[in-house]
Amino acid sequence: MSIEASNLSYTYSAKTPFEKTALFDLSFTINKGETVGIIGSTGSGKSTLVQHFNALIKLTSGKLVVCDIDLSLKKVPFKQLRSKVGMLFQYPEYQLFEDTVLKDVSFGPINFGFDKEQALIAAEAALSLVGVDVKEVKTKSPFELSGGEQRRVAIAGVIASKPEILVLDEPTSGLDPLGKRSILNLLMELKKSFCDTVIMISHNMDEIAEYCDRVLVLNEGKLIFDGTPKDFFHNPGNLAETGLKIPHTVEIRELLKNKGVSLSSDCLNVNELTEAIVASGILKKREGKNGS
Amino acid sequence: MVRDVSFGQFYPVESFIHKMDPRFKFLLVIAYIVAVFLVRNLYAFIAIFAWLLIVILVSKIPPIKILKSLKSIIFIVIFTAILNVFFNASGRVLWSWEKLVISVGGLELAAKLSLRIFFLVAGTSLITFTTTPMALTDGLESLMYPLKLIKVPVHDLAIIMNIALRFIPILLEEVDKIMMAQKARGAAFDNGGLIKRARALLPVLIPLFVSAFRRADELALALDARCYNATPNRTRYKVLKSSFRDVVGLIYTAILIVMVIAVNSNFWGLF
Repeated sequence: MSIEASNLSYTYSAKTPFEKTALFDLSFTINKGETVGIIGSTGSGKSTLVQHFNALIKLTSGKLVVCDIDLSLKKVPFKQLRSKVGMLFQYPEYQLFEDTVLKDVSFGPINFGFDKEQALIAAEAALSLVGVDVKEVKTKSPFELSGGEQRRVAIAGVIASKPEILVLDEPTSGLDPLGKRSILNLLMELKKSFCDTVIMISHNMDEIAEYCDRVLVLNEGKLIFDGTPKDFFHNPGNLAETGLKIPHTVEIRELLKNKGVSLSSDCLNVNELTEAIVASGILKKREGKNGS
Repeated sequence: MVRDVSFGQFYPVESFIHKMDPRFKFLLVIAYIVAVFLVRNLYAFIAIFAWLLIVILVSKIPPIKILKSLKSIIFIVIFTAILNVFFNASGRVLWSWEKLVISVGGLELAAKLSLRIFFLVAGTSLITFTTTPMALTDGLESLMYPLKLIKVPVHDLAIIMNIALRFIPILLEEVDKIMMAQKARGAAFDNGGLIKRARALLPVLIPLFVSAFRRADELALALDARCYNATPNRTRYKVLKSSFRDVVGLIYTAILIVMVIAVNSNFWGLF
């Protein structure tokens, strides 16, 4: 088991007029190898929750065990934990600071106790993994790069220390559609190599439907759903409460249903939808009509 | 966390002091500062303390908040106190070594200076606790009105100050975010010596500056896009009005000044 939370609650600025309860009694388990999407409207506590996984927010009530490290202990081994749980924040390119890309990417590994040579090797490996031209980019200043390249470099900075769990807070926000797709494909590549547990926050339901095999849905700090995207998106009652949008694939399925074409199987990604439409036979009917 | 920095943060409760006119609050704070500087013997600080305590109670700001804002200046206070104790020889000498002398006069002066700094900060932090940044700059602009006659761009200065104040919490939040991101990459901010700690701040400061400049750029564009200009005769959404509260404050502060002067001169020999 990778992450195990029970009765996790959190309140910001407790005992002041700014007090705000962000998380309310959450219990769940995330297993090794899962790709989990965390969704919910703005202010539902998603970011607060994932920041707990890395002990960036101190656990105040409840129990949380991440990679066999108990975070409710007085002395949490931060470095050990953070080298196992990589965390990519929203707009990660805003964290770049070194004078060269290579130095910036090796910042993490050096902090986690790699020696200098190892760190540089790890940095180069991470850079080539995220698909930038290592030779050209490594001596440049990170501020000279384009937005998309900056994001890749920032991701490299997080994965250079080979975390077992990767936590991503809206990894695709602010990118063009092509950039989005390539970042997500990159994550799936990573999943096949060293970090097999991926947790991501996203507002894009298409991404969640396509890439995640489980969703945790938060609403006003409460966990209101824990299960497969299929179960969640195919139950319209779930969505109304949260103010979330259904993925396009599900929307198309609903529209077809309203027109009298019901698709037999569930379909969350584009391939499944295409298959289902073909299987329903409506395309054949049209062809038949055209033919006669 | 950085968010707990309390100096200069508005504290939203409803109170007599919160509802006062910011212009009067400014003037009264200036009067208070004058009173603190008028103090000549330690007893007068009792008057200041009593005055301030009542103001704090009326303002409904938890005293712990005020104490927190004093925490940040404790280093300066200790430093000045030590200098004054050792390099000020007057009155009876208690202890001496080479050129270092501890004397009664020196101790008294050090105590006075430390108390003075504490009371100055405690009193002035009250104005930012009880006044929104908007009201603060509006008040300031209105008070600086006479300077307009000699062509000082008062409104521009006010809007600059307003933006600066407005951005303090935003930048603090930004610091928080960047620190978290770097911590996630294994950065440690709270161990090692002074130099190591200062170096550890680089990964926070550089992204912070970059983002501050980016924000400034975007803000300038946004102001331009809405045709903002600081031409004369801009009207206000909230017009400042003075009320009976300000008269009460005025009288109350006048009493303080009279008290301080009275204590200074031992009540003119009345007792």
